[in-house]
Amino acid sequence: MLLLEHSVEKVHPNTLTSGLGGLINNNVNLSVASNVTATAPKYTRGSMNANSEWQSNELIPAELSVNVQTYKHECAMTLANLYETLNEEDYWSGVWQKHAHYKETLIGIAYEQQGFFEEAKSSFELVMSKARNDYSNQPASFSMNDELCLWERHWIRCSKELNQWDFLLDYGTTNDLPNWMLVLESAWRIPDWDKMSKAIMAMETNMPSDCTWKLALYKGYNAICNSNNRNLEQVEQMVELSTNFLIKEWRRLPSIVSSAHIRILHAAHQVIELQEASHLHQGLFTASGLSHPGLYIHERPQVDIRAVIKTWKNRLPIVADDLSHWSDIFTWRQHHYQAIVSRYDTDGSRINAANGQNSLIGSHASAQSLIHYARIARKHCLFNVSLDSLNRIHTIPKVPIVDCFQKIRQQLKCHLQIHSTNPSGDDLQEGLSILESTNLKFFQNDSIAEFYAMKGHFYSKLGNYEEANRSFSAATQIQDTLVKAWALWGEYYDDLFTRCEVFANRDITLGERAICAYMHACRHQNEAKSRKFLSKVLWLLSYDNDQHKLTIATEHYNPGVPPINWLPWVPQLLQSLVRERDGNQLISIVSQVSKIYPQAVYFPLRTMYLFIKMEVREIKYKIRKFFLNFVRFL
Amino acid sequence: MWRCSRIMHHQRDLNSNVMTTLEGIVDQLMNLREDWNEEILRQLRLALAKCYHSAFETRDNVADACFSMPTFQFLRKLIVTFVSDTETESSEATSVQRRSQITVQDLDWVQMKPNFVKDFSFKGSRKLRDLIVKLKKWIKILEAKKNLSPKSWLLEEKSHYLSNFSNQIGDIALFGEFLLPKVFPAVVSISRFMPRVDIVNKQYNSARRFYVRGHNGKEYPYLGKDFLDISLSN
Amino acid sequence: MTDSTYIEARREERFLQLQRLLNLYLGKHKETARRLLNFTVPRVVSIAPNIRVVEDNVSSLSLMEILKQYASISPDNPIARYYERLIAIQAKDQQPTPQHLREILGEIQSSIVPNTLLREWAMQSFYTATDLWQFRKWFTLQLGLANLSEFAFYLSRLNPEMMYIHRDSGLMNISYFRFNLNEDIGKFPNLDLIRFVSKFFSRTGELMSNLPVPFRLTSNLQNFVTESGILGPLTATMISTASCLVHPNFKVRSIILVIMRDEIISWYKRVKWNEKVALVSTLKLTSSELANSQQTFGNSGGDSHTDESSAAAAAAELQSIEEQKRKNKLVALLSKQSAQMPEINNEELVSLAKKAVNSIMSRLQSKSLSLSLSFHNN
Repeated sequence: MLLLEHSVEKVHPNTLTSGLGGLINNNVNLSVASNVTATAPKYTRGSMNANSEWQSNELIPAELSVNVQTYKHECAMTLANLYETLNEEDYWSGVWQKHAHYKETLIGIAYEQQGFFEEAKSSFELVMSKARNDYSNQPASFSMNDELCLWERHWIRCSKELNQWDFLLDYGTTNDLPNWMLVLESAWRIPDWDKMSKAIMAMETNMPSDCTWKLALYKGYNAICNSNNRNLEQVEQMVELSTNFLIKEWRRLPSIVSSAHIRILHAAHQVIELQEASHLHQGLFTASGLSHPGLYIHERPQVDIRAVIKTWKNRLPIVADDLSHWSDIFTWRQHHYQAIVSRYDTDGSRINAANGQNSLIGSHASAQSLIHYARIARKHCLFNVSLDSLNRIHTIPKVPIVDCFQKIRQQLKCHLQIHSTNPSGDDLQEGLSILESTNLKFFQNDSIAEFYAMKGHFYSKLGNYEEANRSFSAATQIQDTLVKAWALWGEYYDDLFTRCEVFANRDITLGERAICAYMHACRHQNEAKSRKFLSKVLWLLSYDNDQHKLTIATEHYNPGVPPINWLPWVPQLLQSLVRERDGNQLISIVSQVSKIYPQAVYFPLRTMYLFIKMEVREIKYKIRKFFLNFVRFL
Repeated sequence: MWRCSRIMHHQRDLNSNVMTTLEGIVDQLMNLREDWNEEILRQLRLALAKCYHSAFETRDNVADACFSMPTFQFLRKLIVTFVSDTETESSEATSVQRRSQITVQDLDWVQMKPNFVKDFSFKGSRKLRDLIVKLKKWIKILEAKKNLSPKSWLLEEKSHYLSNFSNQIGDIALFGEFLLPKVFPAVVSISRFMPRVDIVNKQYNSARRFYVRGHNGKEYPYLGKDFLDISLSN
Repeated sequence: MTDSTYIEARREERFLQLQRLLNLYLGKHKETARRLLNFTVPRVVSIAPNIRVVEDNVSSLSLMEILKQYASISPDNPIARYYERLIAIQAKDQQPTPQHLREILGEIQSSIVPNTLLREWAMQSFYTATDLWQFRKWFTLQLGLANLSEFAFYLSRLNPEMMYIHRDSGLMNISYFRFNLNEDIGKFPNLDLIRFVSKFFSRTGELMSNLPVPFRLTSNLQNFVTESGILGPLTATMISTASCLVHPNFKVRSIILVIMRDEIISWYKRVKWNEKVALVSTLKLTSSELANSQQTFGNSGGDSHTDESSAAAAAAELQSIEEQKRKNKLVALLSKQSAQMPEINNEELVSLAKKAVNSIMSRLQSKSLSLSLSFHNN
């Protein structure tokens, strides 16, 4: 009971740690613990405490499953809820695997766990309609309640990850009982500041205490962006408030940083950008508030704008972060980029070079963030989200040409990736038609070269090899340091070369060309990115003929490739070096690597040398021994 | 082979200082190798593992299973290496000679030797079961002897060179620092070898744990050990 | 001894190298990156064919050491008990039935190695619940990585002494993992037999899966990781790692190809070497046989000079001439090859390496993986 009181009051977790730790270690009567866990849901829901979670987790599966058969379901649900609050998604799903009533729930969870949010969402929709049928005549049992809640909660989460905020806003408001939290989370993105203000009012009194920081943050958002309610002084206050709440939340978590902490770090990211946005607006609107904006006033904010934009560009989430977090950050920035554009565009009636430039900076940043978001969505394999985001670029007036290039590039990559996961669709055709309809004359040379390279790639995927080869050659002629072009060209020759069914019939010249292209691609690329090219080169060496054509080609094109790119492949280089077939030509490559990284080559080389020496001696010894036997016998 | 030596020559020409230092370190690290007691122990443990393997394969008839030819040869080689004083012709002649000289000098071993030979000469039974019992017995004896020896010693006792090494002698990166590319400022180089060397027992063998201090002030423990072939196929 | 040591050491290092290379992609793929999945690969540097320097973690220990140190149980005891029981059954002229085996296992678990041992060890090793929980979570993830590797890359079996657990983090590195290539050919002592076998079973040099279970999940591990750990993070780790490695943009296949290429080259050398050794030993055998026969012939010759014996002498002489011819041939063969090690030709190399990588990639595809997972979950 002592423990219960503690968790209600949410004391510092270390108190709990010692209490529970002691409980476990001393093997105190387990039935006490079972009561705690059975009645815990009410209290622990929403309280982040790894220790009580750990305790129930330790006890439930093994010792308690027999004792508390009656409470088993409740225990499991408490545990699942705790895992969810702690952000331990995998453990959460592990509990549900045993307790879900519907198979579709499990399928949905499994999809969600691996980032397939579209599939997960439809799975939850399916199970919801199924349950509606099943329980249309009879009420659902009490134990089903948790599963019912899970569907809605995770359906919402999937929609968030799929960037369907307008949809969520509708969903949040159309219900009889509005989901104000959801409104709060989605309204500012659309943006619908009226709804946002309403939601803030509604949540003011009944915000769960661990989300107080969120309310403060959104109030800050509202104070900057809601034109009816602009109050930049309030922002500073909100920044401080939410920071304090976050620090409190952080203190309540265990000392080891884990996934539960990530949410707070994400939140901190949002808070700092709230503050920066308010500075930016101070710059923008104090200037505009003046009735006669002179030249020197324009210059001052411009520096601020640039500095803020630069900071933001350098402060990105990481690929492991959920797409919803990327959206949190980018959507917020988007509002300000657009504010910059409209601020200087409205002034644009009085033609002014500085204004024009500022507005361009805004649209460039705005387009870039949409493209970057699309790129991440593609990396998360959420292709529809990615293509949607790219299409939204058309909403920006006057998109700089570089961004048009990037946009098309991402579009093409998206279609390629869809094709490689699902080759049956017509994504190749679609990609090619995007390329055909692009008017190249606006672009710079390296962009044009890359378009040609992509065209070649699409053609070769579609089996039009001649056209492909022509495009690649055009690409490298326009820009001969373009990594992408060489890499794709290498892949093209590689395919043609290795496709040959009969080994003896292979066309060595194709192999040479593949190696040539791959080696070119490695010249202007860092190690991580050129790794796959060198691996292909090393593999192609297996196809060499008696004239060592391929090895010779490798050595021939090696100058210009930074030795660091070979570093991970030292064992393979040495293996080939001592192979009778292709050794000689590799001496110069190994020497070059060893010149800069003597240690990296010395150890394996020495070991190998000693081994070969031993091996030769061993053979000689065996043969001598055999001769001796032989002679003795004669 | 000549290609290897050519590159090694080439290396020596180019980075003579680094190469001499590296050669020095490698040479001295060899001094940290296990002694005869540990080596026999390791071989016996391996032999036991091999026996367990063949025991499992012949589990249809546990009582009568005999040990295999390779196991027999393995043990015979062990005896030849550590017991016979005669010069062997094996390719590893030098190291074996060195070993047998040391083992001849060790009084304990001289006392143990006749029993050891008796147990593993296999005049009588070739049953796997008996062999396993004998192996376990000898492992116990040698383990007891090993427990009497010190658990750690000073690096200075074995290698003056290493204990006095500093990064003024040569700029050497930590072992394995270049297995994956790192940009140069991130590469940690050795500033010195710490004076203490621990003897650590692993499943089959014992290893030497020495500590290297990087130029960043952090200490990196490393194990120097003989690689074990624990594949049980032969 | 020394040869195989060197070769096995390189084989292990090859897999370590592959893990190091793959870590880059695990960090780039969302589902693996967010779980912070990363192979724990110590730095290993060989300084001589059989000696190497290995990065160490002072707090790491193997499952076997936990058994020995924490529970003070010699690993020999359960093995001894197993064979005692087998002998008892076989003494009654029976072979153990699955029922018997289950009983033996049950007895060992109840009297020697309880299957809660690992859990108890962990409970005692950590002061706070948070530490223990974190340790267990990391342990589970790392076990998932090890298990996926063992299954998908056709590795040698994961034994308890190979698994090094870092107590300070829950990370785990596996030593002595190697690709499990079929090298039966080297085991046959007789050359003709080798040719015979290789004619009918051209399966040598392929990755083998002869293990009774796809990966290690013993009752002690199960007990420690708990059911929701297995159904949750362990499974999720394996699935997300596999999906990372088959991601089309990473071209992991070409990296595995290069590693397998080396593996096949060294496999071929090893097999040819064994063949050579086998050849030499068959020669020894025949020569000693001949010596024996000559001896008996000489002895009988001393007793009497009958026609029969001279006929035998002539036959023996004929035989020895035949033998000599064969031997001369072999000697020539040996001395020609002695200067260099045999090398695999490129065509065979390409086809074997490709075959091996195809089987790895197909194991990483979802179907066979989910099969292996359901194997354990049932």
